[in-house]
Amino acid sequence: MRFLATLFCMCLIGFYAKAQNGIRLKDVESEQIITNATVRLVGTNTMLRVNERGEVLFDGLSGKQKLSISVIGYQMDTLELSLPLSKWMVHFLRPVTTELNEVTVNTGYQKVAKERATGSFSLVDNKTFNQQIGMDVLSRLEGITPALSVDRRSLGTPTIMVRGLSTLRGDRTPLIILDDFPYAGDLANLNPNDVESVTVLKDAAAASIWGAKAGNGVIVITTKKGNYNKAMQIDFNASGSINSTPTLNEYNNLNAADAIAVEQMLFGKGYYNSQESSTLRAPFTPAVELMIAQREGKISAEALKQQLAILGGQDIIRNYKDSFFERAVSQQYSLGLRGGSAKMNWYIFSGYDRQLTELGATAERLNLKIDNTMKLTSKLDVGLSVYLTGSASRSGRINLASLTTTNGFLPSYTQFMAADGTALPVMKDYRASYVAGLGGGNLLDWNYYPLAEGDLTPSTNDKWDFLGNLRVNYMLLKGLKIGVNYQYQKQNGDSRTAYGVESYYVRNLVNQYTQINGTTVTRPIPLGAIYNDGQEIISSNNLRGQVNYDGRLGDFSINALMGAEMRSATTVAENSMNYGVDAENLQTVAMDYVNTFKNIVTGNVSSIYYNDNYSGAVNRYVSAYGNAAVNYKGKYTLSASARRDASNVFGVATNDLWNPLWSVGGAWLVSAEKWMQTDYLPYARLRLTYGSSGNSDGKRAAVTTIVYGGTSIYTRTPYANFGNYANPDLRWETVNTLNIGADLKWFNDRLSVGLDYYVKKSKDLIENSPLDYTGGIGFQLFKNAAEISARGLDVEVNSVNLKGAFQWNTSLFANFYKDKVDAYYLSSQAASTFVSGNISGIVGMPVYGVYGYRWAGLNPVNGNPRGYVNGEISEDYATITGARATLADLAYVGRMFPTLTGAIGNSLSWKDFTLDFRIGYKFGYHFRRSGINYGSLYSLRMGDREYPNRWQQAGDEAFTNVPSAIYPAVSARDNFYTRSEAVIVSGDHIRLQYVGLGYTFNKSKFAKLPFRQVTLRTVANNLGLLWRRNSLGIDPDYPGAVPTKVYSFNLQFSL
Amino acid sequence: MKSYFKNVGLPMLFLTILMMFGCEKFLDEKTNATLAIPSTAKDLQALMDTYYILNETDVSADEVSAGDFYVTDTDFGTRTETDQRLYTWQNSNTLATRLNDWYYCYTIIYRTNSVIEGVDKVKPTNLTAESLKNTKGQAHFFKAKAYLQAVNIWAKGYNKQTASTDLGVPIRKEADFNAPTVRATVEDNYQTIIADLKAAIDLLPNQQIHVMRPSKAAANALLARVYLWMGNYAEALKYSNDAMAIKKDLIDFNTLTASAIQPLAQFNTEVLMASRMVNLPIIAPSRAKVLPELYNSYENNDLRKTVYFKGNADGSYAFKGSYDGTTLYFSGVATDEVYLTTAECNARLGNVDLALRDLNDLLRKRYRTGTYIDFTQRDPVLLLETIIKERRKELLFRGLRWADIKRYNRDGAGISLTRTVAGKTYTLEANSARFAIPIPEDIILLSGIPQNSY
Repeated sequence: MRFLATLFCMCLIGFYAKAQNGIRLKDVESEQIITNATVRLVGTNTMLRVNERGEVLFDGLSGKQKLSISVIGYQMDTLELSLPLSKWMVHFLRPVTTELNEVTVNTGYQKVAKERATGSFSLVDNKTFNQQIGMDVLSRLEGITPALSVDRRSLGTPTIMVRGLSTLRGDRTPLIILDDFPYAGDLANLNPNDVESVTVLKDAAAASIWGAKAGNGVIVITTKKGNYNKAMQIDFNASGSINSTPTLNEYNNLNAADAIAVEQMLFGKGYYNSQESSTLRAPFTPAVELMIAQREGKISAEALKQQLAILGGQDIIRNYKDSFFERAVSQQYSLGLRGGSAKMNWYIFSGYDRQLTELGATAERLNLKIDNTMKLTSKLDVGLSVYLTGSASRSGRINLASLTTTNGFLPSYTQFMAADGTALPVMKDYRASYVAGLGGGNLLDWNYYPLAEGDLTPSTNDKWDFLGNLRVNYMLLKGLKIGVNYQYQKQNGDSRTAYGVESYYVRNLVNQYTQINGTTVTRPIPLGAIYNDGQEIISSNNLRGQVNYDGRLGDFSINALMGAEMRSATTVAENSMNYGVDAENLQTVAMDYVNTFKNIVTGNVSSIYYNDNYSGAVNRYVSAYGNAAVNYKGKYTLSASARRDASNVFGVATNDLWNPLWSVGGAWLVSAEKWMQTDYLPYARLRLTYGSSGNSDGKRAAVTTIVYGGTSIYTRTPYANFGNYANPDLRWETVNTLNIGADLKWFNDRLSVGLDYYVKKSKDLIENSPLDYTGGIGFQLFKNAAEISARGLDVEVNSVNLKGAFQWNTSLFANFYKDKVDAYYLSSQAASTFVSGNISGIVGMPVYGVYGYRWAGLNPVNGNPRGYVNGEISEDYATITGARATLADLAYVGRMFPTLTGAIGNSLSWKDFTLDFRIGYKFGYHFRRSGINYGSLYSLRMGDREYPNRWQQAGDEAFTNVPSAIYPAVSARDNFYTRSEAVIVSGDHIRLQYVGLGYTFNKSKFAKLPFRQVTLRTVANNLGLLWRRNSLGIDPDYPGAVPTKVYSFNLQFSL
Repeated sequence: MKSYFKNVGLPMLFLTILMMFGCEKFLDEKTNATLAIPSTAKDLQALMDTYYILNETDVSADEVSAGDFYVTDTDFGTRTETDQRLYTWQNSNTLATRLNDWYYCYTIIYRTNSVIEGVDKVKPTNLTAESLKNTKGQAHFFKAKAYLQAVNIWAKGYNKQTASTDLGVPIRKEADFNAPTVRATVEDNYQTIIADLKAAIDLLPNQQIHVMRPSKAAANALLARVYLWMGNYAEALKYSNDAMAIKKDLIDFNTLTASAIQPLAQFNTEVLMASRMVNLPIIAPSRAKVLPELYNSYENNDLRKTVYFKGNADGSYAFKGSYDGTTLYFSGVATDEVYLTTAECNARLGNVDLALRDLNDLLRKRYRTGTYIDFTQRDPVLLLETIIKERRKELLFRGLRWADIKRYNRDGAGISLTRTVAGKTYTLEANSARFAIPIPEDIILLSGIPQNSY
């Protein structure tokens, strides 16, 4: 394209060669000719003529001349020339950034100018989005997206939420739209470098167009596209990141010396006697083995003391870090090309990412996208895009958290690597000294070597994702367009865990099943690798027909759309497990899954694990929707939308499922009124919307269903369980939202403030109601029983603090949020239900409250924790925590969700340097930290790092709340302490999210630069807390592992 | 506006109409291929083949309470409070909240009620009629078994004089989980159980493809057990004879390897219906030590002395004679129990020869070959005493002893139980009201039914 453009210019030059040489004015980005410039000779009143070809002619002028060039919409420019010119020159002009003025938001059905919309939208622009560097899209959104929060209270995948809670039991994640359609594949497929912008639809007017799935808010991700009439632009992006070493803070246990002391105490009390005689042959820790050896006279008391002292000097975290970790690094490359003529625009994107974790696991991703839109006629345009993603990942060494034994955690003094670098065995399923004596030499080595196991049991996961989209738009009449949009997506995922023949997994199974009958030895599980293969195919078809009308009728401008769509998403999965795999010749062994075999250690019989199965799911939706907005004189806007949805949830009569959802809204540009012309408030706009959206959860049914679970190993017939119990009253949940908003601007838009106050009422919430289990269907039942409401205020402030060579922008947002329960079926006031982190369900109180048993300090005599029974200080833990304790016996400490969250981002630039940093904060919430549980410490070796602070002698109660260690442990005592007020802490904190420093080389400054622009940036991410209210060093956002700091370097070329 | 309708309105109307007709089918697809509304013979049988719910959650509170074992003070200290309280016959909080024997019983009762209602709704065909009949029979059997376990734990033993006023356990007549929970009488409980088992006997085939499914033989044997507990020896004899007519195989213990970790195999030839108790840690063989007087009651030539027991390091003995073939306790129905039931009933009814025949047939298979001397005691009282003694020796850790103690005490045996923990002695007096174990406290709160009074 660039070549063609140059050729075209050269032709023009040839054509005009006869005339006097001059300069030609062009737009620096689009390279379009600029014809409406005003060109003056500086210091005079002489104006120079600019013709329709954008040429400035110097009729008869000579010598050195200074020109000033001004064009509406472009930056003012000056130029010195010595005339006459020896050849024609092109002079580029830089447009004034128009981002602030014409912000458009994309709802997935239409693009609307934010200034004309009634709904509440938040937009994350490309620039903010790209201030961070990383492989996936969603993890970048926290802290840069107003009203979006991430709930990490439970381990596992964090949940993204928009404007807090809308549901209790249902899915809380917002609907995610990628380029107009819900995205069915794995969101990790998306390449962040391909993202143009992210829009969050917050209120009913914005989101209800998405109907029964929009109750949790909608996040619309828009990828980059080509533009008509734009010269080709090439963007190349390369990044490299390194991570700091994980702290392993989540491994919360005793130090080695304390752990050994506890084991000595337990040994002395005979705690391990029954385990020694049990036929389960569970393993003992190295320290207990030494104590047994000493008791049996195999080693001396002195030797025991020495050996325990050596173990006491070990540290599992240090040992693990030393033996397992390497430096985590990642790389990211992308290349985007885009351009367009008057009839066609196109965009090609390719990206490659690679990641290596500290455990040596790798992940790679390749993206390829082609997008093309053509105007076939002046009325018909057709767009086609194809997006292809391939990804591959491979597991690394074993994660510390998964290193557990059959009877608890590894002891705190575990070593993984010998001094010479060889892998050491650790305790696992059976007692090593016992299994060593089994089988008369016919068994394989039964030791577990964690350091070697990761390489011997690699898991791989390969995915291909294809997404094709065809758009046809036809203009029926002026302003009236009809469009059909079809999208097909298919994702193929293949996974394999290959348990190598030398892996513990295989050796353990082979040994367990080995049958020794006199001199005959048979191995029902053959000596060979075991492959567990899975395949999953997700496909979706979306078809949408839509009519858009954009037009004017006198002072009215009308913008309306109406459409219908069908969606079908299918998942098919299969799994197979093969034994005796010969990896070289790809042979497998036929297995006997029918007969049972005796476990050589315990004597229990079991059949061989059979894991071949198929599964499938189909979700279908049919919807019709419409949306209209009328604007009068640019001042008043009224909008309305409606949508009906139906889905195949369990084949209930279709009509019952139609669920109408709607919204209405109005906006008023107050500052456009004559009587409002004031310098104090040059721009003011008010918005008011109300409407409802839904939340459907496909997992609840109105009929009794059963789920097939597999084949009974005994009868060889299929067995089934109840999946859902008939409850004909179940309805979809609805969320009604009232939103009052104001958009204000001052100082030529340098300061803009957005305020949105909302009240959300969620009705018919499906909630687990406790059930008398004499009914026989378990302890709870789902009913449309609950109502909650939430109110909040979203504040967004954007300010250009300084302008000029030194520029400073600040963007700030603050989200105030409070929810409460309006109705709840709570048949039990039992205290135990409020201290376990569940929904509190008390009308008038927060949905999630943090409650604890009332705390009366430690008993100064024995360090026992003390609570209250009937207002009296008590140590009757069975009563305090028992079934008769009620809510009234608990202390309410605070909310579990923050009442104020937000972030402040600053961008500073001086000439071509930029500095970005962002600070996030959360206030007004509490959480329950972990506390010592002596029962778990004794039985599972699961202690707590607060153990050294426990009460040990009279007087300790003055500075500690950690109960004394007692034996035997009393589970009610442990329960009481770990659920008491004493372990509830404030979560308030301020966090430094990222800091980025960049420098840009512009062609305008460095004429020799072969690129239009080159940017170098370094970014540091996850920098940790700046301040926290708790003094225990806990990061309240991360109950599990705290993310590592990431340092990235990034290079961008634009051509 | 007219052209607008022509160009837009009509196509939309067309699209809408198309969808109204098209969607009916489009939306009929079930969302999950493994999900079904239970409506076919296959679905209903699949609900009855969920072995880990129907065959592996038998109650254990009765066995813990029956007193054939003790635990050391150390092991006692490591158990949960509810287990400790159950072990020492406390009057409250003896069962865990939620996941307890009550839950296991009533989960089975809901399932079996659903299946029985489901079978009644399915139109049988020539291909499914037999299978539907069989499935329904299994449901009746499992329902009766669950009620029998429940009434044995939470109610007093059956006493003809007081049964119609003694508080039993709630009866769920249909699979409606919203129906109120009301305690029925012991009499009603037993009549329900009898009705279900009679229905099962009518419906079930003599033998099944696997002993995980109850057969006609198993249903007869279980009904005999019910009548025996009630003290109706004539009926008990009738049904145990019916069971033996189908299957009366016994294992010759001489063929077993007594030194094996588990000498008795799962699904061995004596098993009529296989099921096992829930694993309650206080009763696990690694902790439960057999009472010395019980162990010492076996003669040295009695193979059960080595097949059933294994020595612990401290000189005590653990039970390893489970017909489950594992360390978990068998609580199903087996032929050896039927032999002892016929022997007891015949002895009580005065059929001395028949009683002696069955007793000797069983014990001959339990003693070292050639060492067994047939019983010839013809005195009915002494004969009965022997049979009752042998019943305890043969059927220990089977979930039967608690009910046996109750019925013996009803007849005046005066058996009281004692246990000592950390120097403190706990006693359960004969005929104490505490032979009905307290109903879980959370059930009392949720349902409002009355607790047992002590």
